[in-house]
Amino acid sequence: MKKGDFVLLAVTGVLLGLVIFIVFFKPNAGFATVYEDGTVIASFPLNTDITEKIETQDGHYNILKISGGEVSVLEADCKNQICVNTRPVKRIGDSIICLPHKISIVLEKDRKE
Amino acid sequence: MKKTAYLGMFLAISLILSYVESILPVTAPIPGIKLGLANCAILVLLYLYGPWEAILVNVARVTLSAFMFNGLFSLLYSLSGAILSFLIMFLLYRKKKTFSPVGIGMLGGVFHNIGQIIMAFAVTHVKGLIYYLPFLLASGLVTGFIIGFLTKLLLPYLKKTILVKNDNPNKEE
Repeated sequence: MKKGDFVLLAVTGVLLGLVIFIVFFKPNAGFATVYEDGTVIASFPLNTDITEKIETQDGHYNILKISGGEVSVLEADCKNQICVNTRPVKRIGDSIICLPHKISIVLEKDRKE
Repeated sequence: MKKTAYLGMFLAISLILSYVESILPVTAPIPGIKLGLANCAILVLLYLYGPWEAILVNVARVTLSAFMFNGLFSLLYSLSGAILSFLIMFLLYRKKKTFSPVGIGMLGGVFHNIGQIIMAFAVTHVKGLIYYLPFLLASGLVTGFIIGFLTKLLLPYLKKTILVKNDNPNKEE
């Protein structure tokens, strides 16, 4: 190996570390926005703990819980229960998605209307 | 004329390496991680013959192996990865006094995966692809390093063989 190789190794190593940092260390989110079929239907601040029932247009529901800045779905009347089994999320860009109800809960920095 | 025959031989070798790789059981948890064995043949070509010959064989290899082993859909991804990776290897090769095949192979591996992910993003527009990036970069780094090291070990033997020497006296160092 030549000198340039070590430089390359060091540079790519540092860049890799940077990429990992940027991709995985996201700041905590401020709001949880609830989308139904792509349109915003509700938005909740993460600094207040609430439990809220979200009703969809076709009569189903998901029960959303915000506690300590973390969002989870307690209960839903969908078949697969994937949203219920999703771990609590808290960082910007995280999401909980309920495909059967076309509901997605996306964590964002600011409130969406 | 002789050169054409050798380039054909290298194409065959790189295709076989592609094939071997496509039948190896992949244990990596992330799709897209592979060893890049064929790149070894391309890197050798770059050193023994030069960039023009290497890119020619590389493009032919990617196209043919897509037809034969991996399916046409993979052509887009393989081609973008192969071309980007070749460009960076070529740039480093021009400064070969500073960089050895190890470093060149390493960056080749990294940029191969960058090229693939750029193409994947262009096709699917899925933002979540960015989560693959660290894994693909790290794996490109490691596999590229291995490939570069293999090439470094191979080169002295290949340079000694009569067939390459007689055919291409100017490229000898």
